[in-house]
Amino acid sequence: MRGEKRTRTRREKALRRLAAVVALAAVLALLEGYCFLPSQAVRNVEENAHTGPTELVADLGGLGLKETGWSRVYLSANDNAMLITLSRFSALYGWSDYGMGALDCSEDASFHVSTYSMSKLRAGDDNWKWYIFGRVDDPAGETVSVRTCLMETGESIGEAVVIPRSDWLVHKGRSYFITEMPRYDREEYGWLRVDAELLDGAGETLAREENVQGWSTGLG
Amino acid sequence: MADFFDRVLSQLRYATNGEKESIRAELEGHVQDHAEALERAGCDRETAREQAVEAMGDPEAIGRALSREYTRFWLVLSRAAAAALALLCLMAVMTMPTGLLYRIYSNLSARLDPGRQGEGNRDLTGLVVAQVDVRAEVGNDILRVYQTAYDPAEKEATVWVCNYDQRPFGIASHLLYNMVRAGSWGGGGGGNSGAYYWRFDEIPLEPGQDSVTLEYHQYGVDVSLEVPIAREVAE
Repeated sequence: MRGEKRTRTRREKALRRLAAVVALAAVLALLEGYCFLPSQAVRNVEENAHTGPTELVADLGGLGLKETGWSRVYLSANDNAMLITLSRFSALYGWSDYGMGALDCSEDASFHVSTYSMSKLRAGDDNWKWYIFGRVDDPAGETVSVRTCLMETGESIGEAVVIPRSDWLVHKGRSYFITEMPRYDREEYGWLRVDAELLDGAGETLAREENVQGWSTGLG
Repeated sequence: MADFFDRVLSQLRYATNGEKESIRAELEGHVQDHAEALERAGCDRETAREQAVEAMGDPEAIGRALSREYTRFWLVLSRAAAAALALLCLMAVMTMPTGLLYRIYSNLSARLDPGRQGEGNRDLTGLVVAQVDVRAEVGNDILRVYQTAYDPAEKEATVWVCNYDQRPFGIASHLLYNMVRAGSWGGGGGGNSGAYYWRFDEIPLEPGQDSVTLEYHQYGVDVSLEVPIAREVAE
């Protein structure tokens, strides 16, 4: 009988401590004082960008850049917006939003497109990533073609990046795309811009956007 | 008798020293109670204690039975929970004063007295300045105009704006000042995750126009906030 009491005491002690851990963690998470999950950073980005709640479309995995520690990149969306969130872990603050890209998709258009670049400063020229992302609303669209051009003349550099429908991500009936872009040396080419086209099955242009606007994050 | 207790306790692999002491005291209590009962029944003290110990049974068997009650699982869980609790407390102490508490303070300041922390670099000489309180919901945030000024010479208005989350501990958007339109951006854009402050300058006013409109059209949300502009100093 007394043995049972001792066992219960040990178990109760553990459970009491565990309950305190869960309660404190819940309070910290509720008050947004500490992000325990990398996806919590998406909530912060939604608050900052004012997009309203978004749903995860793709987890692009770790950043994979040198000297950036634990990181995750998420693509999330709702009917009116797309978000890229760069979530990075630090022991003090947990998973924080270190960078973001946002795209307003609320206006009627065949497609919406933006870019997002991430670079680790002071870690070498190759230590960066550049994404192009967007949403296709025209059901006739079959391919997104993206070219990097000289800013002034519009002359293409290198091969166009082609994103066929088979590479798009479908979430709740909407078609999203995201892919990495090749990098060109600005010192060699000068100012560059990105032009994007939506093509139908016959290769005809349905819509075109020149000088696609984008976001960038430099990681210190 | 000490040997009996040592043999019991030697079977407890995962009991802590404190728990072993507690078990020893409890077993001693049992033996003592039984010995006293035997003494009252007429046994001498020495015999009573010997019989009481003997009545306890095989010390190794007792120890093995007790050991099953003191599993490693709860010990590890308890210690892991204690370590996690200590770590969380440390995180809370480290992050709350500079993060959460400062955010709440900034949020409440923007609600109660935005002029105190707001953008204040503009020279107000010769302007008709008025305190106003015009608010609109923009997503989770409140967009608030808390001061206006009219420049009679240039016939232009200036408005001072801040935004804060609807929840006191919520995050204020640091991008909103880039998305609201009215005249030209005049300065600010500073603050913290509790509230941001900025102003719009050089908003032209036509004759008879006594208000300006702040526009927000983004991500499917459309907000127009009409702000009265005082052209004369109120009596």
